[in-house]
Amino acid sequence: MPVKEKMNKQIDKNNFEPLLVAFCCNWCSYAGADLAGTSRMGYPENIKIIRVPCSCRINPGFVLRAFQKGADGVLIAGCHPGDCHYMTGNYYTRRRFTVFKELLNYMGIEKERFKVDWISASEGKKFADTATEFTSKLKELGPDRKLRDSRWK
Amino acid sequence: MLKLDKNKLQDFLKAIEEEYQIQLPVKKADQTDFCNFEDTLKPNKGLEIDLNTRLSVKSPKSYLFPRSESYLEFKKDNERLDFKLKELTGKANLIFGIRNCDQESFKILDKVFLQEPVDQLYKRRRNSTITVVARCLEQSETCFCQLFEIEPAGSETGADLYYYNYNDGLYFTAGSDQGELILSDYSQYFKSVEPEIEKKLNQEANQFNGKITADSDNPLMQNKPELLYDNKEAIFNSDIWQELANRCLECGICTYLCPTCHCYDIQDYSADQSGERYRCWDSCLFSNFTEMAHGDNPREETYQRLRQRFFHKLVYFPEEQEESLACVGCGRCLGSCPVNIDITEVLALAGGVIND
Amino acid sequence: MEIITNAMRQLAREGLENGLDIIIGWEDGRFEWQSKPAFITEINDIESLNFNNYSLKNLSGYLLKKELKDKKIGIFLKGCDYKAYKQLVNYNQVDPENIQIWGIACPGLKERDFHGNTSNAERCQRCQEPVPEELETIIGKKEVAIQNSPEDKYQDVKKLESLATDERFDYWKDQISDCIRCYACRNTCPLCECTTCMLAGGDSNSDDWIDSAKEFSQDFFFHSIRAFHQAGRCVDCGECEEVCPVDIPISKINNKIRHDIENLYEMPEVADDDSVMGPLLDFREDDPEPGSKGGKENA
Repeated sequence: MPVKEKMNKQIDKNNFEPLLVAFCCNWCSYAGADLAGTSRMGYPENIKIIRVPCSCRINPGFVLRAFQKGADGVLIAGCHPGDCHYMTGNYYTRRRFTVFKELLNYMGIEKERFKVDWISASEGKKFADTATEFTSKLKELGPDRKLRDSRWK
Repeated sequence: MLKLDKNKLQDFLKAIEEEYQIQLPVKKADQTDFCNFEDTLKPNKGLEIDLNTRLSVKSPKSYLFPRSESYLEFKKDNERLDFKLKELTGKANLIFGIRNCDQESFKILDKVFLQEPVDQLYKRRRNSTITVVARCLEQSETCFCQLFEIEPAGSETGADLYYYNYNDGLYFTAGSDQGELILSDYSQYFKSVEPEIEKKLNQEANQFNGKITADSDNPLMQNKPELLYDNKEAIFNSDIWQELANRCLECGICTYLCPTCHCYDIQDYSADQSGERYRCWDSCLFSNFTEMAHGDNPREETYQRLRQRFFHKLVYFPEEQEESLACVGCGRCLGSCPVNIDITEVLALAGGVIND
Repeated sequence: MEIITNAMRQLAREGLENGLDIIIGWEDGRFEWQSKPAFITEINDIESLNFNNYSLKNLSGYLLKKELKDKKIGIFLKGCDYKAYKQLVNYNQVDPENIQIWGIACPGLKERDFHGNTSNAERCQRCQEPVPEELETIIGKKEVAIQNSPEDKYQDVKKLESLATDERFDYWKDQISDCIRCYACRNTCPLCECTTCMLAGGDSNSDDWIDSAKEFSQDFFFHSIRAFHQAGRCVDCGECEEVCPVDIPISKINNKIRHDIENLYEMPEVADDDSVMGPLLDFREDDPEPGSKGGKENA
């Protein structure tokens, strides 16, 4: 059954399948996700990956927009600080999203819904583990109704 | 005239709530604005009914012309696009405690939306709205409804019920058949009124109506609103507009709070395979208000937009609508504009241009 | 106040006589509880300048108006206004060459609420720099300038932080639901100077980021992203909250970001010159991780 149809069948909390949007940087975390796939490491289908050239491409607006359009959780995965393909990109990511994560929490959004992590190209297992943990955490938390656009179907 | 004891007000409102969705002025933190009656009943929300504050922050036009109103749903079904008009659901509206200035503003909105071609969205809300006017026996320093020949304590402004807020009671008279019906259907909440009190209140109303007209010292009443209409060219070409534009922030406060302003935009919202079309407020003071599809903007400068707004209200609208001026003197622009630009200031400056 | 007003008029007169094109100050509004910006070009109009208890308006935002582009301007700035001005200079939005500034030692001002109650202005209760010390000319008495302790700066933020997450959400949902998206907060902010704003609802400039519907998620997007865009720039001049017609506590959002930046990155609120990059335009290799409670407060 396609993932989307599964999502729409949120009959009760036990059958709730969260939608997790992951922004992955092309050089490290996307490659890491690839590695998880080629190594046949299983991880939930709830995760939808959006590839960006570098984690610092990500605008906080992207994160909010993902929540508006149905995401229950958002993950930003980039290279480890110091290892950015573009030298310094992820340092800016770190600052930007430290401030933004605090802001979101302050505005009343659960901390656990938005995560920033550093996953290198060889860390296929870390990617799989992060995806699995995040998904089960979101299953516990339930669907996000706070930031979702009420008109979104 | 019939009296409703103030301590019976909540019971009365609870009773008519079966038939009507009630909105009334409610005090929340530091402001008073129209809210749903049912919200005032919820504990811990800190909302209390406020019939004493003369004016609400926002005008009640939003019950006829909402901030945004979605009216068309569309859905993609394979290759088909299905459309569905949204119905207006729910009970009729009852706006309780509206003032005569806001009540008169509905007449102006009616001219815009109910003349051919009729705006169906407005019409269906208008037809299912009952108004209960609180007649003013006092004015605040920002009031100037009389400049537009509106009687603050009057009962001929087209509402369904009128009341005086006096001592421990609200003294009602009907303004329409619908009003009569409410008074009779819920007669158990009302008491008869001694003729002396009725006479006293009506006298006070007449005196109050006359007092403001006669008050020649009120700075807000000094300049006739017909000034712009009678001296179009001179005022259009004067530099008062740049003077005002120097400090104007080009925000939408005056237009959004004004009971007669009615510009709107139409936008689409796209969800994944479906969406909706909605109408939302727009402000002629926003910098992109007249921006065209090809990028040109005939009113790029702030002074052009400011000038257009006041000319619309005091010249173009009366030109189209049998000399009816699109302002009711509610005074919201005087209190809310962050830089003190308001219609009385415009009239004063215009007066200065003519007298020079 | 009289001292300040008289000094303002004197300086304005001298300024115009010495070749300035325009003076930006304050004059009385219609009611005694109002004060509005004044733009004086003729010496005859100098007497209208008046600094009263309600002269809260931050005038530095007007320096961005395109009509003033090549003019020689004289402007009066209180402590809070001056911080915004300095920030504008650092971001190359104004050219200090053509601008003559006169500082005002601010004694703390008043504000009037919707029901007509006047009180000391909220933003003045947080103010740490009522006197723009760096300026050559400062009018008004420094001794009566308002004094607050540094703890006052972030009281409101700390109070909100102490609530549970869901309580905070209820608070913000309640407040932000009042928003009518008039854009007064954005327009009045001296540091909000993008010529094409990504938060302008539903038009070509906004590239579809946000629309104009009365929808909580859109209003939330507007307020949180606007505050975030001001991260490292906002100087808490209080204008945004002042102009809001529905009393949304906007400075509580901006101050949260200011508090975090101060705590995490040890950067000055306003840099002394543009050689210091803004906090989000800079980095250190040992910056705290997102979500870790780092910074000097938690060291």
